[in-house]
Amino acid sequence: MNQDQSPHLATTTLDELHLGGLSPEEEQQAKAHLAECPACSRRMASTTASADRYREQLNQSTMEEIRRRLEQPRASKPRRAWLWGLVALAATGAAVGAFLALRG
Amino acid sequence: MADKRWEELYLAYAPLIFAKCRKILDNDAAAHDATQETFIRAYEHLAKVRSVREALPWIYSIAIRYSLQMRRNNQMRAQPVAEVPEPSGGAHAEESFTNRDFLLRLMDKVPENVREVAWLHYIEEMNQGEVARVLGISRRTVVYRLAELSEFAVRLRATGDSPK
Repeated sequence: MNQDQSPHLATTTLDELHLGGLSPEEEQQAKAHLAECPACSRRMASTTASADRYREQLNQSTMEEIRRRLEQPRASKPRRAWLWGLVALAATGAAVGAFLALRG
Repeated sequence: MADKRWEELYLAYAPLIFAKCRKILDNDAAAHDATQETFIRAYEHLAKVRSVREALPWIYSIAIRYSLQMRRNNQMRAQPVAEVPEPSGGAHAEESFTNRDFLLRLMDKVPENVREVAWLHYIEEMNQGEVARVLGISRRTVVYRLAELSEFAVRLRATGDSPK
């Protein structure tokens, strides 16, 4: 499949083409390649179809749904009580060890 | 301010991210969930974003990681996979995976960091430099992880689970 000297368009190029982020010259080159290459053309068509479906049917409602989720109070992260217990235990052990060492 | 930046990111990239998630999960509803989760995670780490333009690889990496994990969880529920022995660490040339089914089965059995690289390189057809950029790792690491994948493939074939 993919090698670095691939005859196909890079995925990032296809993504940029989809997003309209290529320079006019790059865009022209990419489109010329797509016209000649069924494999790249299929990749582009698949991405465009999914993205268009999302844009038409889900974009706005999903953004509102995410906003609602972000506004909900977050469940606090579980406190790592066991970790602090372990630290306290280790500190106590070290202190006892040091005490015994000094006495001996 | 953060809301505005987030909204810009969402409007610019959500449809493309959905398409990427859809390709991994092969299901609209799951891809929709993954897209939501991706942008929630993006919101939580918005401070990392310098500009909307530079944010795509970062958001892409969040989406890929989350979707591949979802995909693996779904596969595990459907069919528990046997563990493949750890690779020995020897250097193998990068393999050319011509059998997609075998590659997909293999990806369900390798560590997450190898799976991400394998997906982007073999399924998304990114070159090594692109994979490195999206995942924020060095190209050398990409090469190493592809070699690890090849070793897993050798071991998987040795167990008799070879491509038909």
